Amino acid sequence: MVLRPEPSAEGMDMAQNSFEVRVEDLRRTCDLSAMNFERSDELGELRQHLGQERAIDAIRFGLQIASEGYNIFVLGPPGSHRHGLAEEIAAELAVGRPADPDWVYVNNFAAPKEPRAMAFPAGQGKAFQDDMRALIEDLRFAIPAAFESDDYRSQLKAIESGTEQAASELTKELESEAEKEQIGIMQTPTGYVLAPIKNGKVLDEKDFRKLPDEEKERIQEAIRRIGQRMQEQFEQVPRLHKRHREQVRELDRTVISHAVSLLLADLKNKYSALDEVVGYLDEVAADIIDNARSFLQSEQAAGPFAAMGQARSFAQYEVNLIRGTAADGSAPVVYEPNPSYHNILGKIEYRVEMGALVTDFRMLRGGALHRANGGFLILDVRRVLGRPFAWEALKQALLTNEIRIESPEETYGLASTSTLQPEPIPLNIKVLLIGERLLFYLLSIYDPEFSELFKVAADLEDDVKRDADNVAALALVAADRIRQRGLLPFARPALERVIEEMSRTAQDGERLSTHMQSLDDQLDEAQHWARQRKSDLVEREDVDKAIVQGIRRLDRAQTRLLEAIERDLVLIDTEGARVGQVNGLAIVDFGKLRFGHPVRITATTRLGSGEVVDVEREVELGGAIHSKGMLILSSALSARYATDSPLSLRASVVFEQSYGGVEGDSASVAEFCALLSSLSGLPVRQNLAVTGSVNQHGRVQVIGGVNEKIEGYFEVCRKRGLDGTHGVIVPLENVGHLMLRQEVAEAVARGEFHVYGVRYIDEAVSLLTGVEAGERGDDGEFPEGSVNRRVEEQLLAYAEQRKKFAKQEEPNDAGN
Amino acid sequence: MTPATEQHSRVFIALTESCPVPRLWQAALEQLRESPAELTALFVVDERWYRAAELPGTLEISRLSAAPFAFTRERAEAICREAAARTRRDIERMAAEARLRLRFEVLREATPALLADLLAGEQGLVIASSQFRLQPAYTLFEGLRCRVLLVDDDER
Repeated sequence: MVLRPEPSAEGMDMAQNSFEVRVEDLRRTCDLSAMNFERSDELGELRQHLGQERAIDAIRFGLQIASEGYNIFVLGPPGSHRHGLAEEIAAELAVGRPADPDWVYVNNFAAPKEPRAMAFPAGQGKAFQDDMRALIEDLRFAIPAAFESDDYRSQLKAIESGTEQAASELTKELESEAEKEQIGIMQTPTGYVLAPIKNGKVLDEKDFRKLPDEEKERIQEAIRRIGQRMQEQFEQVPRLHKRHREQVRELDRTVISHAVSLLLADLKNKYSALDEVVGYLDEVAADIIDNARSFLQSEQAAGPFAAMGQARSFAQYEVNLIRGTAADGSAPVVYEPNPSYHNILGKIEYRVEMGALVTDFRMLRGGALHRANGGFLILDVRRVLGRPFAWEALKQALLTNEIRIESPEETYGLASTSTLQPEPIPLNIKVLLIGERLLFYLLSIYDPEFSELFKVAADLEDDVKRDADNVAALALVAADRIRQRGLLPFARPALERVIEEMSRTAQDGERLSTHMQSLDDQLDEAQHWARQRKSDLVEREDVDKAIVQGIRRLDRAQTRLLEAIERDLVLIDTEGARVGQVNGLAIVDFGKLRFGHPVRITATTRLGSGEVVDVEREVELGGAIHSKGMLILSSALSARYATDSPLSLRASVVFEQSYGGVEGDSASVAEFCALLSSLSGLPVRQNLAVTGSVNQHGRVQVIGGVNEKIEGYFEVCRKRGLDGTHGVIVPLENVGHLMLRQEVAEAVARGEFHVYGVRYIDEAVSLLTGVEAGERGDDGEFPEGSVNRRVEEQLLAYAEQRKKFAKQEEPNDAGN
Repeated sequence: MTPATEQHSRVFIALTESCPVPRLWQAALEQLRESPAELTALFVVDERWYRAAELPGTLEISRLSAAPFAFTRERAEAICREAAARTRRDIERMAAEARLRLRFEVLREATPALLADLLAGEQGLVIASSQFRLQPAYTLFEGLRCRVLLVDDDER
């Protein structure tokens, strides 16, 4: 690297003065004196969402339009008060909206595996559940009482006597005949034995043998005959028993139907306007009457095997209120913080009985869709997408307009066990998904059903124009939040400081951030420091301290980097001048951790074939945008200089000591200047740093993170001692974004530091070299001694040299 | 119930297919409470089954199917075996609950010597149902050195 004399101070001063940004433009202060208050608690109430009119209109439109598919996606970053906004508008529009019915699940007596859904006018579902519960209690007493009544007992006794008498007559007749024939009937565990007897005793074989043959034959014939009669009687016994059971069942029906009719009469009368309910009550009555006796068994059953039996239970008449509402004339607004498949759609629960999983309609549980049916459901899209099956389930419900409770294993055909298939419930809902813009755009592109279901995008503004109205509005919003959060009141200067910081959050001195979480954090933290000093009023110093402490908590990485620069581990010059070496500015951005720092950019040039080598790209450390910036720079170089000759240089541009990735084109001005310095041989001032991107025509363009970048270089210079020559060159269009820290603005005001705004690369290079860049004159030439003239001359010299080399090589080529 | 007036070193409970086992057991317990003795349960087989099985043409009609079967000796043995096993289960459970040692024997008319062996020449007490006196097996006890205590079974 060739060291050249520093440019003249006089020339530099002239250039600097014309580009220097005014102190008042470095940091726009806030003045709320026009609002006539001293403390925030003197400000009136104003609950508004600053700058969100478009999003509010979109949400209102989506919630009010009756057509299908007009669900809403609220786009905005976390902390932008997107939930509060959505909930507030939904709650407002829910008032007076016709209430949707209550829904209950009851047993389907014809198909118990398919529970039946019934609708009730709002508020009546719970009443019906209570009524059925009371009915069950009544039945628990009424059925045993009916069976224990004297009337029932006497009728049952008569039936039993009749059956016994009929059976006894059959037996007596047979016994009488057997006795006449001297045949004994002996009962065994499984039947009856017929054997000859004498004097009440079974004959023994000896005595039998002594009998005359005729007598033996008579006995055997009698045994056969009586055995046959006995067979005929045995065949009649089941008929007797069957007739007995039928008689008893008929008696049961008569007795129970009377009791049940009395109990159900009031209920049927109460719900007479609801045909479906009346029909269901008739089914309940029929089922009780048909199975009355089995309730006695189930009530007596106990122990682990009770549930396994066939005994029926009154529980089957219970009512599962899956969604009940208070009849308060407003639709529900539900936010489901954990939108899992089951929490959205509901689920079928199981209980373990004897090692088996069993379920019934009582174990159906409603989800967020049930709770919000007829109203509005608010969900975080990131969480919905993160829960297995939840997104598909939500879409399915919205596409079919019904809520179908089923287990995901069954939905996806992964389970073969028998389970419930509850009747689906009609869905009438508006869903508000809340999420980041990226998710909205990804879903729009990759999910064809998304656009069909979420037709309304409510795009929240990140910031608003910093005009007098919005400043006043933000002051009122802040005061309101201070009040709502129960914080100490803020003095007017403190509130002004808060508003200034909201500009800083917006990364734009002419705008105000609408990020409410940032506002709340500032308010909370400032109050904390006020309380620490035992004050009952938050002052400006508290806000300052909150900001400083907030930065301090995160500035470990920045501090280490500054230390490395201070120790010359990272080489950054802040004085003198160097050819082909420029202080660029980079930014580290990991969310809350965001700071700028200088980076040395160097360029070398030599004779070549028109290549500008981006070392970062060659080693794949440069991102696509950075590479694009380098290609534009290369193009600008060839378009500006020696356009009649082939570009005959080989240039190399490097981010020195950069071992991570480099992305963005905000260093292209610095890279361009390094190249021009290398070509012109003019040294570049190291007490200046530069940021900005450049287009093919040499126009300097706006970049991001301008405040952090300036502050990053300021920190390095301050550590080494500010001498009034240090400064940063930024794109002129970025001046509006400036909202520098107070200390930087104060240093500039004292003349210790400078910020320059430039529009063209020529302006930047003039500032950096102290030599006029130079414009082409009418003769097509740049002024003598100007930067551009020197660059062009060098390029033409390279072209001439290249031509000479080409001629030298030609004879050899011809010889070949 | 016939009161026991003497002390006995051996107490027998005579059991049949249809006797009231709990009542006989209670009587035995009372006796043992007064005078400890060696306790033996004697299941007395109903010989009617064997006699009926020896006769030609004897039938058993199934209650379940109403079908007739020839009543054989094997069937008679099965009936007696089942009855003895059932009775043994009952009485052994009672003995276990009372923590008493119990010997169980099956007695047939064809094995009268068994009873004499069990008595081993000593005075014994036989506790039996009053109905037992009407059964042929009752005669097995006659002539032996044992006293019979009959328990009313009219509550059955």
